[in-house]
Amino acid sequence: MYQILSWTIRYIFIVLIYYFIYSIIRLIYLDIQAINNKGKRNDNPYLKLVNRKDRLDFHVQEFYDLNDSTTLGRGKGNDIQIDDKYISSKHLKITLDEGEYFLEDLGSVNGTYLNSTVIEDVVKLRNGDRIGLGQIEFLFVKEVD
Amino acid sequence: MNSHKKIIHLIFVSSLLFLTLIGYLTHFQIFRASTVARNQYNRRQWAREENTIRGTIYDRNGVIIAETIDDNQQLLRSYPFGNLYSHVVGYSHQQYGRAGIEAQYNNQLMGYTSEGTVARLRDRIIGEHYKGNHIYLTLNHQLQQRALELIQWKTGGIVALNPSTGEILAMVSAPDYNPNTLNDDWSRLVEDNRSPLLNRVTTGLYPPGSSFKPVIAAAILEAGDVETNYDCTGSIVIDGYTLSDLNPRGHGPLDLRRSLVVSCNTNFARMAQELGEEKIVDIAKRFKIGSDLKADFNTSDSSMKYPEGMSATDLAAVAIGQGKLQMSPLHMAMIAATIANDGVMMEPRIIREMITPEGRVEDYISINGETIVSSEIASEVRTMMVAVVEEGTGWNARIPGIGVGGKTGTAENTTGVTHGWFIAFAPADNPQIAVAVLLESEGQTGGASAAPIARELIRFAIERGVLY
Amino acid sequence: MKLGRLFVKRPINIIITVNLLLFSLLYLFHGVADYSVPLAGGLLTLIMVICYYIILKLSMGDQYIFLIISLLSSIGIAMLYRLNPEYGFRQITWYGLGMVFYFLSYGIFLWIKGWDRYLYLYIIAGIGLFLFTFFFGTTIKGATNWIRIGQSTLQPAEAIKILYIFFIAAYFKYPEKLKKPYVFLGIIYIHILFLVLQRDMGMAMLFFGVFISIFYAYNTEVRLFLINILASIMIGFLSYFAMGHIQVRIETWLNPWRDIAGKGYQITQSLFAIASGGFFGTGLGLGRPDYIPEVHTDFIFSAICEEFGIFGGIAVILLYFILVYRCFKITLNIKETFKKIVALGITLTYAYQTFIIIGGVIKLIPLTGITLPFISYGGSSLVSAFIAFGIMQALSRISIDGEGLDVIE
Repeated sequence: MYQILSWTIRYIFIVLIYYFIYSIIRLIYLDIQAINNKGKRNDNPYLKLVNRKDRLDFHVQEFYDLNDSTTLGRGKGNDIQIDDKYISSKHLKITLDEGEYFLEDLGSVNGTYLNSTVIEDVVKLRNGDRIGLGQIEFLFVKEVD
Repeated sequence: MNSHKKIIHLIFVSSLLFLTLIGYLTHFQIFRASTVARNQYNRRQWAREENTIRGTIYDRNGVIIAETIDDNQQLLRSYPFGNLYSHVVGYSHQQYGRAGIEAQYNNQLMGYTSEGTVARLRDRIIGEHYKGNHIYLTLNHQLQQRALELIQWKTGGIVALNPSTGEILAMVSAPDYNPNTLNDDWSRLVEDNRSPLLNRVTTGLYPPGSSFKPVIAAAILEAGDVETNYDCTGSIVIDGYTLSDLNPRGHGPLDLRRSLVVSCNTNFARMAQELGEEKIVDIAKRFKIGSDLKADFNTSDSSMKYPEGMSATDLAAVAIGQGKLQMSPLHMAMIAATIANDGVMMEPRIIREMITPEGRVEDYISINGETIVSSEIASEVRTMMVAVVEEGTGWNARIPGIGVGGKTGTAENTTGVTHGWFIAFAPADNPQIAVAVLLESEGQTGGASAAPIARELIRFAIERGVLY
Repeated sequence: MKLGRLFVKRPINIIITVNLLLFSLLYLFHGVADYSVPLAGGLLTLIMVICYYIILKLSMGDQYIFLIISLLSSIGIAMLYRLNPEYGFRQITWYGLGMVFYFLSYGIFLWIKGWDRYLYLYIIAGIGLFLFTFFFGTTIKGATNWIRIGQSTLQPAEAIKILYIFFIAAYFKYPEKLKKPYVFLGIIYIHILFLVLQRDMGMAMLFFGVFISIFYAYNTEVRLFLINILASIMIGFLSYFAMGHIQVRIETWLNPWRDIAGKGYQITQSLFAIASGGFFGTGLGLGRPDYIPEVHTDFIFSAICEEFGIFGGIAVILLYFILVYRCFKITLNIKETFKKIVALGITLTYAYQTFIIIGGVIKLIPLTGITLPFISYGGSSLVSAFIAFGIMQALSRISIDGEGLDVIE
């Protein structure tokens, strides 16, 4: 009896470990994708995903480039579309004005956080700021020369 | 930035290291593991052994030669006929290891075959023992018994085979041992200077003496230009060395046939000079002296080692089966069988069939042969060998109503006491059995000592019809 | 249904499931009267889950490092429980202590600034520990690399490993501190010489491998690098001819089958175990790893291969592989030289250590006694591994925080 149990568990054990490896390799794969994206990127400032829950039901990139005006939301018309149910269809906007970037909430339901504080108004972004929305968090990176 | 690139190189190196580990481990498991796991120092396999009903070994007609019996949950290997098959089947013993078929076909007998895995798994789940494959040998139990009777109390070996298939019908070596009582006998067996654990038929090597002459005769016939007529005076001087016949008065005038019939050493020594080294080495090579016999059991290679070439006396010595010529009895039987089988030498085999525990035939065993001499040459030598028995030194092998061909041999050796040889085939017109008999340090001529044994065995085989 | 899928898909749940399976099996294996096994398994799982949530809640950076080393530790502890429950229990104690050190080293590494300034301290502490071992050390299994404190023995080389990495990193941050590169090389080779004198060939190989790799990445003079390679080859040859035990090791590596009962005993027993395991192994508790000498330390990988097959063995290798990969990723994200080299050093140390011992027990390379990180029995190596990866955890936070991004090379 013990034998049969031990044999069965042996297979389950091996399958589980490989599944564990798979789930982490999947993340490594996403990393590599992100590195490739990053390779193509010019010196524009970008958003970097920092806080990923170990499982998300939607696709999210590791990096997003920022243009003169970038909108983010769940809806199709946005520059950055993220299908998180806690993100509103038009959630936030980042705009460039005279070399500086500004963050603005577009009246989202769950709000936008800058360094863990809810933003009420348009705020200026600095390198290293954390932007939180829905289930994810981005880092604002603007490399200084 | 440069160091960044070099760190990526290090990632490659590390990845390579890990991949090497995985690759090597996989390689090891696929190609090496089965051999390693079965190393006799691996104690695990004895645990497996204790849980396995080893396959049964049968003779060609289903007589049980070795079987594993379940004695109160303890599995015992038993050999119902004791000494009879000791040198063929060998033994499988926890302490003393394995020998013979038990050693060589251990994987089959233990069921270590890929097809057996699923069945084994099922057996283990329902709590049954593992089961190994069964082996049917080509041996005939009755003939084997007769062979043992004929050689009992002597030292030597007898082997009988089917010339047209290479199947071994009987094989005994004396002295022998009882595989059932190794625990009690082991120290005696190891210390005995008559080497009872040695299978003389397959691994013993001896000078064949005159029984080798049919091979030389075949070479002479092939060459065609050797002067075979000679007036034997009882001795011949070759390169300052005097070679004498057994008959000191000489055989008088004789040809090749007569030389073989009376086993004239002087004429063979003389003819060998004309034949020359090249042709003698060639015929020896073709008869597989110095190479593997391709048997399906362990054999020693016969040899004729003259690394610096052969002198005139070497040629004379080899022509009469002496010098550095060393032959196994099995090989001599195969030479007789080749002559009998129209010049085709069959690969000797002892495994008739392997059967899974479920009764499926495991291995198809192929019959392979190789033409050594033409059928014309073989036929001529065959006629001469029949004459050897009809009217010459082999008269002791005559059987009323059955034509027997043979050749005697009385081989000098380092012990100072001659070995007696006889090789034979019968019936002469349609050979069904070839035999070699060796009596080690017998002191008598092969015609007097070995020929009667061959006769009795052949008679038994043909009269009782126990060839199949 | 969906809940079930979600459950299995979260890596921490896979670890919980693995622990549950292994420890319930071990419970049956050791007889149902003994409740210590399931208790130990439960305790272990609890520690892992709590620590995992602490790492998540406090945003301590990369979470995968911890998940992977937890799974490795689980496999190790389960295997030790199977071999000898006493070892298994002690290993859980070490694991608990290791976790404390993990968080401590994480905190201390972040709290104290200016780790890169203490070059001399690292050198003195490292060499000092070596000298201490040299004079007061105890010889165990032919290597004088243990210090006895009361009942327990410690392996100072495990602590020196971390000091050594810090020393190399501090040097490359401010190379001018040691005037000439030859001084640096001299100190490196003193470390290795001590290990050779202690007959700890595995560690010597490891220290050299880590040094030469970092040296390759950060030294700008190609000539100096080549000189080092040449010198090491020469030293290798010299020590081969001068030291009998190295010759013996190479010979038993090339042909262990010649002397199975003697010099080749360890490696052949290991190969027997791996070979007998086949592809899927015998199942936990059904093999005979007790035939393998030193099975709970150096040869634990062979035991895993015997009972879980080479698929289990390869799974373990892949776990180390993704751990190392993850660490390399973190390393690449750091821009500040000292921290980057510390991360690189830790990564390489554990990558090479894994290769040296697994390669040794499967006869890919000559066998040298060294532990399999997180799996082998042994307090010193387990705790030092947790300290090293605690630092790695801190470095991962730095790399994610973008702190490293600010500093321009």
